[in-house]
Amino acid sequence: MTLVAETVTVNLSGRRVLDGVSMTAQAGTMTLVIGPNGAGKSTLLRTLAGLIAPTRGRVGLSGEDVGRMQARDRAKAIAYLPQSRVVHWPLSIREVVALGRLPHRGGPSGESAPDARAIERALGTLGLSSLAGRSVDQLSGGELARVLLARALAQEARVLIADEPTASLDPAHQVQVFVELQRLAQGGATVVAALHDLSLAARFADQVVVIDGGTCRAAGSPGAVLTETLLTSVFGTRMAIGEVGGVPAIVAGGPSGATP
Amino acid sequence: MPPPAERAPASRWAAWLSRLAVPIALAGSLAGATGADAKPARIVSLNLCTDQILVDLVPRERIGAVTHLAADPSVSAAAEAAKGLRITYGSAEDVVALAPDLVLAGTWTTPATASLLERLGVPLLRVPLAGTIPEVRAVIRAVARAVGEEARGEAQIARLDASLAAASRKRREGPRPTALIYQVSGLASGPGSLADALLEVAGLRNLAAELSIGRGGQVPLEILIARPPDILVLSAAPDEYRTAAADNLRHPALRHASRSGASVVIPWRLWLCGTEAASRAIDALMAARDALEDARHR
Amino acid sequence: MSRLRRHPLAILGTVLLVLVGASLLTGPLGVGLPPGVARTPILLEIRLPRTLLALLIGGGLGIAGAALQGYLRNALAEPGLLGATGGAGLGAVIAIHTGASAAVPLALPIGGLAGALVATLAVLGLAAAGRSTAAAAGQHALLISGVAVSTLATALISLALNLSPNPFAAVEMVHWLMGSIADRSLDHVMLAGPAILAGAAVLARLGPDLDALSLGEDAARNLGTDIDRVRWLIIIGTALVVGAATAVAGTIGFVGLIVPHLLRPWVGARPGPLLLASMLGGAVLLLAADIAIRLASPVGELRLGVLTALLGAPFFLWLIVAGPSDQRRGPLP
Repeated sequence: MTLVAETVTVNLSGRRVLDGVSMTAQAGTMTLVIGPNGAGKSTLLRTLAGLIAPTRGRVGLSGEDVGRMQARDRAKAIAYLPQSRVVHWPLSIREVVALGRLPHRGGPSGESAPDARAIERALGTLGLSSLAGRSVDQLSGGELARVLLARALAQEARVLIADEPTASLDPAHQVQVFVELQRLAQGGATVVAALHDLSLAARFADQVVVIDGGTCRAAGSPGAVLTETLLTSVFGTRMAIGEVGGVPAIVAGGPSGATP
Repeated sequence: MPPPAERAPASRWAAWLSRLAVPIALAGSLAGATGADAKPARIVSLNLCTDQILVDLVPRERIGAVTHLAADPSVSAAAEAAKGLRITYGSAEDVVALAPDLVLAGTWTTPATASLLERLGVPLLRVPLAGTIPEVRAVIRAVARAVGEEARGEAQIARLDASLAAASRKRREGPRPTALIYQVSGLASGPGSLADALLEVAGLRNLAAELSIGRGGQVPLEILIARPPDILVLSAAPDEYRTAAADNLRHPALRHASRSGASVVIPWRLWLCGTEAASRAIDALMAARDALEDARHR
Repeated sequence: MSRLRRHPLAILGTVLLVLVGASLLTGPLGVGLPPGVARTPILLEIRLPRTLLALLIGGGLGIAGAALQGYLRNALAEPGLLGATGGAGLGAVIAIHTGASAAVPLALPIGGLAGALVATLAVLGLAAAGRSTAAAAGQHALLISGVAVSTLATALISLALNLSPNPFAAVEMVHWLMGSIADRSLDHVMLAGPAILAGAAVLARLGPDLDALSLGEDAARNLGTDIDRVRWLIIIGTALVVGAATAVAGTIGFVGLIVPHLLRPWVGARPGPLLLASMLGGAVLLLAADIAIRLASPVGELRLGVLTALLGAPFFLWLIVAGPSDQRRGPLP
């Protein structure tokens, strides 16, 4: 399913957070959104997910206006992974993942067989099957991130939008999460994620979207977008692009003369 | 303030001592009352019971002020007569500003106010709450003497005595019917209260003495229904008191709470204070008793 | 033992039935039915209403407490602590003292409902609650605004009674501050029952939404929850239950706080299943407490509201000190 933002403008609390942003995320691709802190990445993702109604413009999912969809249909079509990783009650891992099936459940009645299968699949995909009974307040950050991703997977939505899914994860887990997201995209899903790690963006993205000051500075393949000139002007510091061990590496150098 | 005196003293000794307390209190406070020969011309009453006695004893011009309860028909038997009289809430400053030459205060009046008035040299008569018929007479006499209207005081007492005499004349043979006075919040008038004394005079036996009553004086409705009195006396009409605490007076099961199936309402104002209005309560009780016994003998 | 764990609802239901039987058999004259012709009216007109009220009020407060805790993601929440009970008392007092309830009996539970509604709105507004974070500041803000609203409501009740010319004002205060279901009639049951059942029905359907809220507001919305609708249903459901219960019984607190805590280890931490279980658990708790009162102080000196406060306040203090152990912290380092 193609997710399209058409000149989306969002005002929050009187402040213009997004200004005329347009972008397209195709099915079967991974679109990674990068930009400085406060650029509006999270707001863009939330608008794409239908959690915020744009002040101007619209978000379309295969032609249908996301804001006009029924909550249930939208829940089945789009899975959103928020930045804050919080589970308010000491639920078990399986219980958390099972929450992803809520949009599919007929009512307060229990799980159906398809629900159980989706949950088991999600658990298995992220290597959580043996831990299913453990309570989430005994997990490390990396494990919790995987559990919440599993919840999003269990939703079996065609679109997955993740806000900084690898924040505060160790390098191995970061890669693991993105390998999983990539696999999803290769399976036909539309994956959109925001992140700070430009090396990961360079490595995994099919499309990179650069958001700066509420506007879209660039959108395109990693090679086209992730250039020293663009990144330096966006981040206000010299960026060095290279390759280490066959894997792209982008690091920040010293401050440049350009103003951010 | 409605006195909490409607329950049984803790023991017979306490009951006996409280009997003594009334005349002692009256004798003691008379000493502090005005010694002048002239009748007090500006009397202030700080207590509902003395309000009612006063209003009947002296003309309005001699009344400086009464409490706000005096004109409240739910608690005052002299409400009509007290209408339009000046009201005081009993603060010492208020009273002193009225420049009374006699102040009538109950023993339940704020002690601080009363002793302050005494220290200021205001003539004060402390009047205890009457719990028996002799005490009612003693209180009326004391107030009458203090305001200089002994004759009218005796007239009040005579009316009361007339009711008592009529009651004793009509007393019938045989076991006395039982009665219970059931009030707001489930309170029942126990032995040692004026209401209890009036039941006695009317030839009724107060069932409250035989039921298990809580320390607060409450009778659970279930006990009332399990052992109903012959006559259930309600001290208020069910709608008269707009409170949640009066819900028990509206309970549908009350119809099972008297053996005769009927209940009689005798307004609280008739026996709240020891005044000659109690005679009307006695009359009402006698009427209820007569009705019961007539029904039985039919 | 593990088999017991699997059927909490059935077990609670059975215990409840046993307690209902015990309640019908317990009175101020001891256990057992009274002799003679008084038996029927006592059973049907005194003990039955009392039992029904304990079930309704206990069950209603239980589910309201569980719903509030689930919605606020805060294990210290309950209608009494959030001011709803005080507000309901104020609404009921106004209904009584203006004579409205004497003219129209339904005015009493409606007054309670309105009072509870206003109080709940005030607390939620004051604390700006409903954020997806359970940060310490948010919890304290909620409890403090609950205390503020409760205190104000109690002060206004005192004012209303102070200004009332009614000689029974002092006795009245006792009724509102220390709840009781003694000597109630079927009229009270009819007055409060429909509203409590309606409120419980509204709250009972929020299970899946409350479950979704465990992940925070954004994730819940993504899962299809309409947060605004949930907030209104919580407010209305709680107001119905607490308003009607307080209007006929006075202040009975802490049931909604204690019951979900006691049941979480057994039923699980998910807010959804806790709703129905807390309803049964609340009914069990209040009925057991009322039976205990009837046995311990037969002529009715000890009031139900005092007993629940005696149980609940130490429990609440312990929760504050030990930390509500059933609450998840934020992201781990």
